[in-house]
Amino acid sequence: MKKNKKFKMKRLFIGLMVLSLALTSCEEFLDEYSTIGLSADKLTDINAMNSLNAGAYNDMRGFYAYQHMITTTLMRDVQIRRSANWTPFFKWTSSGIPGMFTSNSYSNGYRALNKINTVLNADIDNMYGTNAEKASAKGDAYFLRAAVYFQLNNYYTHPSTGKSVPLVLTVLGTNDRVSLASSEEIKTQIESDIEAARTNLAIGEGITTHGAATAMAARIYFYHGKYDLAYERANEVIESGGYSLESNVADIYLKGSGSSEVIYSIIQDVSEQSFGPAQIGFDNHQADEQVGITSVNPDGLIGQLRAADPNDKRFADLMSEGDGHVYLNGKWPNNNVDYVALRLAEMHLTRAEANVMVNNTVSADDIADVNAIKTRAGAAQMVVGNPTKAEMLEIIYNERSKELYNEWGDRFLNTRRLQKGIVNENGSGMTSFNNYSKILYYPLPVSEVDIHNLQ
Amino acid sequence: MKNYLIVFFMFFLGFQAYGQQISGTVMSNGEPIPGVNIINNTNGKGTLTDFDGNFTLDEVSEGDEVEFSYLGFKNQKIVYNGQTDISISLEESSEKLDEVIVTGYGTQIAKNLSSAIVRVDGENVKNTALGSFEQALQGRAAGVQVVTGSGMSGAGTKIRVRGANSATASSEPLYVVDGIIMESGGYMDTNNSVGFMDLNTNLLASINPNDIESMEILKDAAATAIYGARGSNGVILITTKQGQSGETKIEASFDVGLSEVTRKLDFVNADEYLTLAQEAWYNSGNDPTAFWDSSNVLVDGLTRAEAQATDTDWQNTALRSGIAYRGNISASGGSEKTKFFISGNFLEEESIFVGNEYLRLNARTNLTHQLSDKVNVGSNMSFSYINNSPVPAQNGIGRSNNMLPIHPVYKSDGTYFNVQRNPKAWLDLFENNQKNRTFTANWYLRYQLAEGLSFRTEFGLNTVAVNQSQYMDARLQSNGLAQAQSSSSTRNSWNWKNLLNYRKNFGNHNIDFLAGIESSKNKTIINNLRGIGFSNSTLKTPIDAAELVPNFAESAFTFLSVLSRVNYDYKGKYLFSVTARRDGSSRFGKERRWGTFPAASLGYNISEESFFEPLKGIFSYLKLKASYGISGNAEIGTYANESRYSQANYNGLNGITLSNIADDELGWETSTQTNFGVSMELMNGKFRADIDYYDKLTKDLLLPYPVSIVSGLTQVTTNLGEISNKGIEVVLGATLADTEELTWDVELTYAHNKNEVLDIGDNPEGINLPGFGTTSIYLGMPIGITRIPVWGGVDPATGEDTYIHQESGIAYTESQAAAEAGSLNNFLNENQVAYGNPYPDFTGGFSTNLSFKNWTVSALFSFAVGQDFIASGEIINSKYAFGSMNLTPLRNMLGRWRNPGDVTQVAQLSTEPTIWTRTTEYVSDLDYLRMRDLTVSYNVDVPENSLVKGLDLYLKLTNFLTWTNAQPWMYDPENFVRGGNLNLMDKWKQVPQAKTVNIGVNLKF
Repeated sequence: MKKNKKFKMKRLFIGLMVLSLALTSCEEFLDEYSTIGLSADKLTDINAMNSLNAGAYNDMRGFYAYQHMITTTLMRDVQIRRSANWTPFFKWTSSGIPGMFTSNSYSNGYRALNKINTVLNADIDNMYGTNAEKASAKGDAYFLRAAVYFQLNNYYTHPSTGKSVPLVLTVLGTNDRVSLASSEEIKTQIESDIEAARTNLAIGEGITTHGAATAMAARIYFYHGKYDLAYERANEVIESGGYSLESNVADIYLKGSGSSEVIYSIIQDVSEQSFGPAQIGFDNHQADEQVGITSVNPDGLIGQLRAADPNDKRFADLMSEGDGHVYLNGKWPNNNVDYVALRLAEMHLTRAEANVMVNNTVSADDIADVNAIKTRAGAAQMVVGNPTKAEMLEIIYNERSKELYNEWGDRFLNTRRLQKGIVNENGSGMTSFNNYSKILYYPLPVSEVDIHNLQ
Repeated sequence: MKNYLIVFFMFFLGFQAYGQQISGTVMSNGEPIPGVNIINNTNGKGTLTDFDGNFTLDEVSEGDEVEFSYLGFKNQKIVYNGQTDISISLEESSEKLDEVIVTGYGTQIAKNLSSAIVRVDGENVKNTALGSFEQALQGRAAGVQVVTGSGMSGAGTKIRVRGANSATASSEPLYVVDGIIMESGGYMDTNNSVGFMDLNTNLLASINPNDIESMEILKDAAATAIYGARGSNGVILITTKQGQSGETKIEASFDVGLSEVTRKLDFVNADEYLTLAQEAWYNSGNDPTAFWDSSNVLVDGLTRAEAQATDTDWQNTALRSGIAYRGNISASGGSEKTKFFISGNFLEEESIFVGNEYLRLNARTNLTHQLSDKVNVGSNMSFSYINNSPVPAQNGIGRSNNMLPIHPVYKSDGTYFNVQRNPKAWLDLFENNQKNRTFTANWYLRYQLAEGLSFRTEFGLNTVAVNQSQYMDARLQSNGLAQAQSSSSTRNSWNWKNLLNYRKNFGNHNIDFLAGIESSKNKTIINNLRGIGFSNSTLKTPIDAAELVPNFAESAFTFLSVLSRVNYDYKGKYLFSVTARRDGSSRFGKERRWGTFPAASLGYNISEESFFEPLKGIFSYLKLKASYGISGNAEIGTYANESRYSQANYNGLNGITLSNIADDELGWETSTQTNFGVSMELMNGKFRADIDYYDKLTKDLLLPYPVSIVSGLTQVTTNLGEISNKGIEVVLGATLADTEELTWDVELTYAHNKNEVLDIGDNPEGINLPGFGTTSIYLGMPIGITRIPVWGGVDPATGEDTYIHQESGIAYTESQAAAEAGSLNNFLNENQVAYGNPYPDFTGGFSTNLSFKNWTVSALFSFAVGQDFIASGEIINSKYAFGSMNLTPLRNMLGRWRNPGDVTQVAQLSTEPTIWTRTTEYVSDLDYLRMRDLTVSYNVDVPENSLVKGLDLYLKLTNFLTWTNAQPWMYDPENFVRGGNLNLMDKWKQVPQAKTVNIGVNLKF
């Protein structure tokens, strides 16, 4: 009996030994991978492509976050209320611009491009799905690549060398090295991408639409000096009838993506991402000195235009006064509004100016376009009579400044495009374009320059 | 013993030797001891006792000397003189050298140890008033730096064994309780979006300090290599108490403790504040008569008259006197075959922080049973429940200088004054609670396969479940929306060990061989629900909120290991040990999945040599030892080797973003360590000394490495770089008296460690990662330093701060600096140097234990010298108190510069905006000597036959006295910086430490 028990014991022991040896030799036991979230090897279907696109749209919140703030301060449209911590931006030298501002759009831009390029290099044509679904995924990616490079190229192109940012069209690893592309190379790519976006989004609408791609194309051609194409695209957007001007300017910003005037917007949702243009825009214009840092510079162009026509709704409805300061709070009514990145009003002004530039003369249609904007704003003076080309361009310049001030950086680009001067630091007189144009670009992030030896 | 010897000589002379079989039993205190080594010293033959303590030994001749030895017992020799049944009773050894040292997967006696292991007796943590047992190691174990989290209940502990040998991976030692790897750190490790820092509850506090029999700290590679890829941070082995057969012993203890903060900061009062604030106002060119109307000190409707009538001490809203009640009861005993130890413990505490309440309950059952003469089974099980309401320091004490002494707590209508900054409001309106349940258990079976050969299989389980809830009242939020959060997380881990052990004496050759395989898996699941916006302030559960944000996380990792060790000694004179472990883990990249960690050590008990005899009068014992080996650090994170995308949703659409780039080569950090040591006893153990020198080189550091954003990420972690830790450890002990009436022991521990970064790849100038508090890693400097401008003192002529221009070495005043670089900020950015030492040059302790008649006094003093720290929150808020921020300065600001020629450390006051850059001006030394523990106890004589068999009364002082050179903006020189080893120099807000007085009673039944 006792022997029997011993025998059982021995069998048990041998069993345990075998079992544990079996487990030890089982290398699969070490194959423990994350069950949550996607990994690179799972990016094989249209849904994954759409998730990459959505992730890239999420990056746009950070990408656009500071652009209105930096560009308006560079134009001296605003003054900085707290001095020592917030050196006025126009005093920044290339080493002095706080990296958090400029590298923010650079890093969000390339973070988005990593995903966009993942999509555009994937074999979408052979994935399971309808042609519309495939075109929609591609269309979103092409649209964003054009939109991102358009901003990067505008801000980072060096005024004297014409070098812009690296043109990255593939998915790169940490050891890959890149060099700066010329602004012209990037422009060519942007135009090709935005046309590809239009083609694809016409077949299948994505997060964004064919209309938005067309409007973006109008903006791109306008700033690339291709006025005929700019006119054509802007005209197509306006004539499509898909958009209409809000009667009340403040509604554009309150409604955001829900506004009939808004063509391309970045939707704000605090549960997804609290950081974005609305948070920065709202905070900056708070009267509370612990939060807000900027107010309208009374000597700058916007301050002067406001003084000339204070009842224009773009001032009366969107700005408020307090403690001797003027705050823009109608465009950022709270820190949870959508970011309006492109709207119909810009298309009217673009169509008008592009038409003037192509025809070298002012037509009634051009005047109607500008007056549509002025009328909606309740401006004191409409365009009347037969202005000369030069007069009309000056009218449109002021109108664009008033209409698109502190939105996506139009003031900055337009000032540079037209080589206008800006108000002097001390508030009196103007500094000519030649005298300050050398600061009209963002320095490349120092770390990127170091890693890639960018020059 | 003497009698035996006489008998021995008589029979030796009288009888001729014939080989015979002898048999008998070996007992201790009436209980059989299995596995006792029995050696016939005359012919070298030996055997072991079985489970009943029985033995038979062949070929014994009359007159042969037979020696009985067993770990932890004094050796006994007899001379065979024809006895047929030999009954031996072994005595437990009290000698330090005969102490049994737990080595991980086995034991060894201290004398035969050739690696660096320090043992701390459980007696030292019994009834500790510290938050968790490991905090009691401070000053007791040389080379083990212990930093107590804070006086907050459930605060964590930071332990560095022989320095910090990592950058981003954890440097906490591995904790192993009765063979089960314990998670250290906090119960919660999610980044809660409602939550704040300093909210955690220490996991190790789930172990009842009174259950601990001993703690062994494995320090060198020879000791830690048996834990392979998880050993290089050092290993702390905790062994809990086991039952003894015989009469059941019941012990109970109760105590009550009162606590206070060790130091309060010395803030100005209302009068002093107004003097300074008005001076700053005037200095900045403002109209003195406009102070009250324009300086912004009157906020939230406060009138000048109200302000002038107010003098609030804001620290008092967040700090209080704490009280704690502790109780412990245990029963141990058993029969010949079954032994048990059962205990229960409670701790109820209201700490020094207003709002912090803590309840801890522990229960333990340790059982062993002998199934047959070959088979033993056993189990150790422990359950703990902790209900903690930690208060984020940023809410209470950290806000106390965000208000002014001229500000009242409440407005005249009874509502909170300036509610969103008011610490009282934050303490009242922010609720936080954690309920933690920990179950730890192992079950084992030991089978005696043959003489000296045994097999052990052991299954261990560790389960941690946490429920956390938080609520933040709408009044605290700028958007006016209340937030609530509820989360539950579980961490389950199991491990299974199968070990073969062979112990045999071949004459003078003693061999202890171990081989085993082990597998383990650890899985964590976290569910979290956050709710934003409630219709009513009585609703505090997230599900009632208007907007819900759910979260879920799940992760797991596995280890698979093969391990082996051989301990060999010849006559207890020459010691040799070799260890190897091979570890595979799912945490490692595919191309680097398995690592091998070998180590070897040599020891030479030189005092056992015959030529040493003449010296034995002085050196009663002398051992030299040396070891070399490799161990690893696998705390590199789970899934760190995978290419991963994390969620980045857009407008309700599933969005993803690249969050990690795959690295198939990612692996453990490797530490190679050499150790030389000498152990000695003088004058028969009256004086003892242990000295160790070590040189530890850690390579393949897991370093954050900046990469180009064109890859989609700005930073990756990779195995790169080297850190060196070199040091010396000295333990000096003495027994100054050892009589019936009086015993007196003293011990000094001292450890010096030098930490240095030796290699950071192709980054000759150092790695700087941007962020709040610059992350800097510099060659030739310790890990964890910072990079800051050098303050040059206050210019006596102008009263401005000066900063050193690095190129010229000249001190520039603020205005000169601004002129030089365009702005002061630019100047400060351009003139930074790698600075400071976040680690003490040396640490240690002095302990003494004096017993006279019924009185016992024990004391422990601990010290640390050479550490620097920047308490940025406190000092920056003090220095820039008069800008628009409304902050209360410290009283040292009263010594500010006022007139040309004043020589002072505090610049002229102004209302200029804050310069947030940390400078060397803010650096504080953190040298201290602290009376960590003083216990006086009195053993009451109890009548022989009373119910109570023993009664001790005790008074215990913890952290009661501290001598320090810390700056006035430091709450305590024992300063805890959460997290890894980067950015150790700087923490925004501190959490003070507590000192306590306890009185208690120990009872024995």
